[in-house]
Amino acid sequence: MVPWDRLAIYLAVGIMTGMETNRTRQFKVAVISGGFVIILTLILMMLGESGLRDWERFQENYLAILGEKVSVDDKIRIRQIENHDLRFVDRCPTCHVGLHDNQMTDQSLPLTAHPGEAFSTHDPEQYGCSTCHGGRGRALDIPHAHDQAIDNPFLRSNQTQAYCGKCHLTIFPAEFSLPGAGRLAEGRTVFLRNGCQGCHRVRGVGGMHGPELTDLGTRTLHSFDFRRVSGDRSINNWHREHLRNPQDISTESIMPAFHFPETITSALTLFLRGQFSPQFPLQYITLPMIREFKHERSVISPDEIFSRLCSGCHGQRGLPDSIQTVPFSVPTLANPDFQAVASLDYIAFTITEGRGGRYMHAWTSEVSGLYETEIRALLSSVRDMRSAAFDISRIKHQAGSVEEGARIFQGNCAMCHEANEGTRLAPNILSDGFLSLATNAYILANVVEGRANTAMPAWRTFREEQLIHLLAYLRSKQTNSMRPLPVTPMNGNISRGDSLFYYSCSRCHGEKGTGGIGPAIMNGAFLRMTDPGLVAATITSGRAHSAMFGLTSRGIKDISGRENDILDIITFMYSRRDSIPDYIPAGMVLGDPDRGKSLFYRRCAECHGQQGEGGKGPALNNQEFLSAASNGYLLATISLGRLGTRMPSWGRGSADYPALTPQERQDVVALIRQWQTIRIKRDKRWIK
Amino acid sequence: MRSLKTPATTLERTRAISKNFFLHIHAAKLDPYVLKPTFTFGLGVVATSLFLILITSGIFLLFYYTPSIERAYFSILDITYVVSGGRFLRNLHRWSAHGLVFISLLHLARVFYTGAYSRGRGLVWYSGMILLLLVLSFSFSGYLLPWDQLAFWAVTIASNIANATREIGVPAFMDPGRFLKYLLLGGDQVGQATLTRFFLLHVVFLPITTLFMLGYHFWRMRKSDGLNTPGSMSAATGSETSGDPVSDNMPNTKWLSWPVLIWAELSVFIVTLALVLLFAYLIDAPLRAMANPTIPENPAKSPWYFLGVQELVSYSAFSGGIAIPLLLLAGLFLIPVFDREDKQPGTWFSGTEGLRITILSVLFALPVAIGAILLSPVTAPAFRGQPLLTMLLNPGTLLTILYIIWALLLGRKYRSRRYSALALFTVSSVGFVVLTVVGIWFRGTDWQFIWPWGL
Amino acid sequence: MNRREFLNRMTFGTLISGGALLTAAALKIPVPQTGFAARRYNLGDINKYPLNHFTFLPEKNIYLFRDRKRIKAVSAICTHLGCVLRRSDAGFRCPCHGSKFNDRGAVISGPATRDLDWYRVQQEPDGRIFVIEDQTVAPEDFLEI
Repeated sequence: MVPWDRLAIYLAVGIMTGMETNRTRQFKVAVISGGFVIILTLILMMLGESGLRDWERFQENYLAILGEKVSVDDKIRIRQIENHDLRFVDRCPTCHVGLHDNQMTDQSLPLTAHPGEAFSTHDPEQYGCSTCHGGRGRALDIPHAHDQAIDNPFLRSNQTQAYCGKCHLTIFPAEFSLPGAGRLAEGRTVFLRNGCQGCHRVRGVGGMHGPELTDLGTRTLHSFDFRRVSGDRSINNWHREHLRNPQDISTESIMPAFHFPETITSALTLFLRGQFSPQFPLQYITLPMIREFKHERSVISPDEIFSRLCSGCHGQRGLPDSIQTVPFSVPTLANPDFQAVASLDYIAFTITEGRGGRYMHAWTSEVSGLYETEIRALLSSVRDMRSAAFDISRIKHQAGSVEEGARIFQGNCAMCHEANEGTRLAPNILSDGFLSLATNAYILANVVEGRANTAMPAWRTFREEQLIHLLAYLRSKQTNSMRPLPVTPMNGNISRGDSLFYYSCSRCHGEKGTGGIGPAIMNGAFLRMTDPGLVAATITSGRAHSAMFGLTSRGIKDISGRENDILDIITFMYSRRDSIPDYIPAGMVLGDPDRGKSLFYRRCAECHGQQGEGGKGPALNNQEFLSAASNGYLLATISLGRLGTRMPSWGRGSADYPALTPQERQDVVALIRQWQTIRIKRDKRWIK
Repeated sequence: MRSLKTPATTLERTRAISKNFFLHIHAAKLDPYVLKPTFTFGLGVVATSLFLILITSGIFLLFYYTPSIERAYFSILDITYVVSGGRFLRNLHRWSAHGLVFISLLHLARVFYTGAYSRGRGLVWYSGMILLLLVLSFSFSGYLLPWDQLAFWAVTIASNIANATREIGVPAFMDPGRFLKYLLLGGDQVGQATLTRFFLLHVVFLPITTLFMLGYHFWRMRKSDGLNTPGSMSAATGSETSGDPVSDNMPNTKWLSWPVLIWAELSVFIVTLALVLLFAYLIDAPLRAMANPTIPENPAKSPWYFLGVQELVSYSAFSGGIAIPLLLLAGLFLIPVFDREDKQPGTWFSGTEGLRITILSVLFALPVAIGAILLSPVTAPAFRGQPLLTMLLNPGTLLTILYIIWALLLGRKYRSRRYSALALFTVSSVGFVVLTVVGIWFRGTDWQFIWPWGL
Repeated sequence: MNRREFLNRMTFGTLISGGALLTAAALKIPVPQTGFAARRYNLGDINKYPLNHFTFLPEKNIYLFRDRKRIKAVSAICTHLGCVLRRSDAGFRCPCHGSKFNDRGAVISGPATRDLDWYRVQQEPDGRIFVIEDQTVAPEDFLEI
């Protein structure tokens, strides 16, 4: 103990000795006052540590309530829970003495017993307090333990469920139902339904445009940028303002503004703060956790994939009216006009190769974290956004109205199938040569299925009676009766057929039969749909008033010698029916790019940019796009337009956007094709 | 036990000093001028007191601190929350440290302005300069030990400043800055090796060196007839009394050291202790989140005494981080070589003329410094991509050149190196203070200008 | 010289040379031998890096750029004082003092004066692709894939 008496004597002696000279007086005064301050400070400091601290008072209150005397074991002391595996030292029970004590349930904080059932499943001696509540477990005063715990954000009772995410998996399990974590589940639903993972990767799955969110829950207050936040400086508020308008908070962000109501925002914030990739030792890890951390999760359904990854930009189920306002142009996938012209090749290519330099990722497994089966399912699901084709066999031979059919034909088919200023984009289907060979079923199949990668769209918007009218109109142009199709055995010589095709057919039909002046006759869809007899008959008799001169029209009477040729050609063609070329076939370019350029500047550049770089409309000079889109796709899109978007139908024309003639459309396509500098090989595994 | 009879006779009082292990560094008699508060302000004693307080508080802290990157931060937390008097102890250590740096700089200024290095007392000056460097190293090495975000990034920045020698294209194996960085860091990034080395520096190497240096500093003063007062002797080699132990019968030594000097020093110590204890009681030392190498602080600021340098560095890494500080240090070191005039030693500013020059220098330096700093948003984009120009023409070098010109002109005008030194010291100090103030309060995120109340 | 002088000289010389050697050896002790980050980094499956995108590799502080033909790697460390760069619209920017670089790593503005280093990307005979930080290359250099 401090020898106060001796100290006093020395002081007195010293003072008296020194008093003899006033040289020292000023110094002694200084010593006395300084000494006072020191003594005062030290006393205050010691007092502060003896029974006056908050936790000491709480413990005394507790003991007083219990009516117990302070025994040796119960003396006022620091109580802590340590767990070195989970790396915490929690001194919370020092103030919250009544935590385990059932007698304290009716007390108020801090002495009250812990509410709820949490202790039954999470023994505090093992899990401590800061695991679920955050805060600074080592601290012994109120502010540092709670709100000022800077490296472990503290959560109050209605928010602690966020930290369930430290151990309980929240992203991939199909079902999520933890007792007491209702708002967390709510937030999870919001997260998974709005395409957040499309830009923000979590646990190995997702896009890369935004920051990865796997460890969002570990971020402390200090790691958030509050410079542009107007409300209070808390993590919850940062998330709230950020969700409301991301560009306000983070100027370079491309994230759309989701206009969620407040309850949704707070649930979502809770969920986001519950994202952790925890590091704890083996005995705390469950088997499902191991699987998820090793990215062996259960398969996600394509609907689920679409809503998690795609809907953020492409809208819920690809519908135009629900697309978020992203600052770049995004195709509406469920748009009927898009689905009509896009082949599976195009869709598969776009999804798996992306659009380089734009915001559309290449969603391969390595990049997105999805499994191959999931990607395949996604491709089919996007393809299935096209309205179902009804069963054409239901169409009986009813009499349709020729006038109606004419109107339908004029409004939809004529823009390609009719010659305009000498150019025709599609075969003349009003010719006898075609109609006498084509059955109704064949015609309807072509209409409803379209022809993949050519300019023939899949018309799913017609109703049954409209097709009947159309048929009636077409048949009204037929002059001769139906001819039976010759039986065509497939036993020709394929290699001979190959060279015959090359010499005889490819000039019009394209080098690999991918289309040119004549239709794409090596197109897989065509071959699958068309009876070889029709092809044989067409080769034999040709098509009147077209460039397809058959054998007979050249005046060859005796075709017996040529029958083998035809057989060879057809056998060759059909042998390639199911082959998948390395590149999506573009087809021949039949237009003049220079004329196309001036047309483009005048008509297209306003939305698509002077060099096709995009703007209000998509970028047309993108290499991935040009490798995905055949000339037919381009022609079809230009001709048909996209109802519901700003893309007009240049085939039909309107008051503001007068129609382009077929040749003009060919010219524009020629220009667009000129922008292609590389050909990107596609990955065939997605097509098989 | 010997009787505690207070010494009364002159002989007894003399012996009380000269026979005491601790006290005999003092002379038995002293020049009364030395005790004038407005002469020294007791700054040297304050500095020594703070150092003693630091050693004591540091030893206590050593009971609980663990220099491992997993445990360091938590050991600090435990000290703050659990250890009896721990929070207080830590605050005491922290504020004494900051105080020591500040007081050392003030002491340097006092010694310079009173010309205490003149009349052959150059060695005291040199040892004092070395002590300043030691104090800065102490403070810097201790800064890392809590291993929080503040500490980690401050050291990262400072080590990169040292590495700025590569800007001038020095080849790697000859590069002293790079070598220093690797030596300090124990690798190429701040990590466990760094913490171990800084701990070694802070707790072993620097204390031993400082104690020796401090001993030498005191001894050197004693050998030079105590403080350089107007009446004291010259310690220059060649004068009759240099090298002799100080005689107690010299004309300027009028008072007996015992008890006046003892009381004087004691009072300074007690007042220092009182102030620093009060500080420790009232204000907590900062502690941010635990160091996280993946999340840089923004702005990442070095300790306040380096912020002037950091401000300079934001203009140009090499000139601001290496060239100008080295120039400054070299200039300070060589003052006794430069100024041999012995002009009115012991008098502040060497007289009224010197005072006028000092005031003029302040009035010149202040707007020039502020102007140069305000110029920085203009010069930075002007020389983008041109390393040599950026290094040569930036606000830092501009300031340096202008200040040197000012000092030379003044020196020429008054034909006195002492006045020239006065001017240069004053303008450099003002410039440095302005830069430090800007670095502390006027720089925010991304090192952009802000108003102090804005952050 | 006589024996005494010789002995003195020998003793003295031994002490001096021994002391010098000891000092030299002692000076080498604090020089760090390890603690240097590995200078070669295995990129693993390059398909996991998105196309036409600068992917940040936090362990190495490198930005990796990949498009259909090329892989390039650029340092993400600001040449001013070593802060880690972030992406911006026009390239890279440094949060510490505001230095800005374009996509080729050239300095656009800011206290930094040197352009960013591009590192060699190399394919081993067994097919693995590494970033070699010891070798810097021109921005036009890339690994063809």
